[in-house]
Amino acid sequence: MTINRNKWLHQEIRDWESEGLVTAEQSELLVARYPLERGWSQYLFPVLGSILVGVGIILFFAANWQEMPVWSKLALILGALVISQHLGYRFRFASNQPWLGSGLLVLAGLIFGSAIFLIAQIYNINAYFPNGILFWGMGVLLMAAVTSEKPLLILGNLLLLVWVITDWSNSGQIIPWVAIILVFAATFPLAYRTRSAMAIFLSISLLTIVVAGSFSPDLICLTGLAGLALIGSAFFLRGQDNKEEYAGLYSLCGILLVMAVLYVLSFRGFYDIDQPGLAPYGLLVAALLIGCMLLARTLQNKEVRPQILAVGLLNAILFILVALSSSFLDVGLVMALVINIILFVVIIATIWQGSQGQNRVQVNLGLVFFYLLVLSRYFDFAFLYMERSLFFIIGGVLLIGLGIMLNRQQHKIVESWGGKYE
Amino acid sequence: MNKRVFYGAVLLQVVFLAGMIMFNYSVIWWGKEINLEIVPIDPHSLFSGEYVALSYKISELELDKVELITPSDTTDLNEYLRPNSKVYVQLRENGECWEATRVSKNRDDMGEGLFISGRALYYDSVIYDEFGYPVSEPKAHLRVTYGIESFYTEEREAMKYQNLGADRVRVRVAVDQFGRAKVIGLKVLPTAAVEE
Repeated sequence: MTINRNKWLHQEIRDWESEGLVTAEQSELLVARYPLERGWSQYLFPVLGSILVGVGIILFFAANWQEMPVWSKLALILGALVISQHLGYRFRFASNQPWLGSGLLVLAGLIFGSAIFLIAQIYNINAYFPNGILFWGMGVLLMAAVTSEKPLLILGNLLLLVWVITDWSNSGQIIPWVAIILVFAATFPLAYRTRSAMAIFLSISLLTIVVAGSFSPDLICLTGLAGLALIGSAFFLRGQDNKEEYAGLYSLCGILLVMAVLYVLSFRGFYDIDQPGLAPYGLLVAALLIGCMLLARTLQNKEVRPQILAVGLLNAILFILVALSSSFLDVGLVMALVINIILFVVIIATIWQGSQGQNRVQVNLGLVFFYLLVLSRYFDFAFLYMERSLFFIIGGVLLIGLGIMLNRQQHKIVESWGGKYE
Repeated sequence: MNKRVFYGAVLLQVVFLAGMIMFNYSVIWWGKEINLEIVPIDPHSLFSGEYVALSYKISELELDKVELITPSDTTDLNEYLRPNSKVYVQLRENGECWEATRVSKNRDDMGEGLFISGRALYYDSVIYDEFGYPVSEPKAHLRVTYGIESFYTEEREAMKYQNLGADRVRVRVAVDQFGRAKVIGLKVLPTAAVEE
C-alpha cells in the first residue's frame, strides 16, 4: 500500500473504532501495522534550498571568473564536491538529521554537474553540452544507486530526460541504445529498489521520448516498436492483477507505452519503407506464439479475460501489420488507417476503464492521446487540402474547442464518481 | 549504508573529473603549438557562460587544393566520407599559420608531419550559403570538425572578438602526436599586420 492509502486507512480504522467494529487495542495494532511513511514535506525545503545553492554555483562558474587561477577554481569545485558528499553522508546516515543530509546529497549532485561544465569551460572542450548532461546524470545515478536516495534518483532521471531532449534537438537524431541501456540497467531497477513512482514515471517518459524520436521508416524500427508495444501490454496485464502491489503504476506505464507506439505508427509516412526484408515470416511466427500464449492464459484467468483477449488481438494485429509492411510496400495508407482505428479504440477503452475504476490519471492519459490523435490527423490531412490562413483559423478554433470539450468531459467523469474518489 | 561503498563512489566521481582534466591537459603539455585562421561568431551557452564558436579555414577542405587519399576500390565518396567518420588532416606551416595539405581516414597516410584528427561532418560537391543557395561552381569539399570549435571567454568578451573580424584573430592550438588538439587561446593581430 502507498503512503496516501495508509493515511486513508488510518482514518477508516478510527471510524471502525468509533462504530464499535474494532476495539481500541485492535485499532492501535492495525494502525501500527500500516505506519505512515515519512512525507516529502520535511525534505522539500532542504532539497529546494540545495537546488538553489547548486544553481547559484553553476551560474557563478558560468560567469567565467577569469581573475581566479585555474587550479584554485578546480580545487574549489572538487573540494566543494567532496565536502558536500561527506557532510551529506554524515547527516543522512550517521546523525538524526536525515533531511539535511538528503539536501546536501542533492547539492553534491548539482556540484558534480557544475564541475563537469567548469572543466569543459577551462579546457575549451566543444560546447556540445548534451554529452556533459549525460555524464552528469550518470554520476548522479551512481550516487543514487549507492545511497538509495529518492531525490537523487529523480534528479538523475530528470538529467537523462534533459539529455535526450537536448541531444535530439541539437543533433536531430536520438541514440536510442544508450538511453535504453541506462533505463533498463539503472533507472528502472533503482526506481523499483527505492519504490519511487515518480522515478518510474520519468523513466517511462524517457523511453516514450526515445521511441517517438527514434522512429524512422525501416523494418528494424517497426519491429522494435512492435516489441515495445508488447512490453507495454505485459505491463498493462500485470497491472490488471489485483494482487500486484504496484498495479496502478504497471497499468498506466503499460497504457502509456502502447499508446505512444500506436501514435508513432499512426503517421502515414512511417510506412514508406524502401528495404523489404525476410522478417515477415519470423514476425508472423512471433505473433502466432504470442496469440497462443495469451489464449492459454485466458483459459486460466477468467477475471481478466477481456483484457487479455484485447491485448492479444492488438499485438497480433500489430505484428501482422509490421510483417506485411515489408512485403507489400504500397499498402502504407491502409496500415496507417488500421493503426489510427486501433489507437482510437484503445483510447476509448482506456477512458472507459479509467472511468469505471475511477482512475483520474488513466482518464487524463486517454484524453491527452485523443487530443494528440485528432490534432495530428488534422495537421496531416487538412494542410494538404486547405488554404493556409483557413487552416490556421480552423486549427485554432479546433484547439480551443477540444480543450473546452476535454475539460468538460473530465469534470463530468470525475463528478460522476461523487465523493468516492480519493 | 556501507561507508566504503559511498566514499568509493565519491572517489569515482573525482577520478572521472580528474580524468577529464588530465586528458585535456596532456595535449597542452605535450602538444606542439600552432596558429590557425578562423571565422568567429558569438553564441551563448546556458551552462558555460559566453564562448566564441570557432570555424577554421581547415574546417572546410576544398578537395582540389587538399589531397584526399582513398583506397583504390572507393567508388562512392559520400559513403566513404559519411558523417561522423574519423579523418586525419595533415598540416603544413605557411607563414604564421598552418594549413591543410592532405586528408585521409588512415593515420599512416599522414607520414612524419604534424596532423590533426577530426570527424567528417559532410562531403559535398557544392558549397551553400546560409540560405541554402550554391555559392560556387560544383567543387568537391569536405566539412570537418576537430573538437576545438569553442573558446570560452569572460562575459561580454565574445562579442569583442566577433567585432574584431576573422582577419585579426588567430587561434593558438596545441596538437599532440596522436592528432588530438586543444585551444590554448586567441591571438589578436595588430591592425598593421592585417593590412600587410
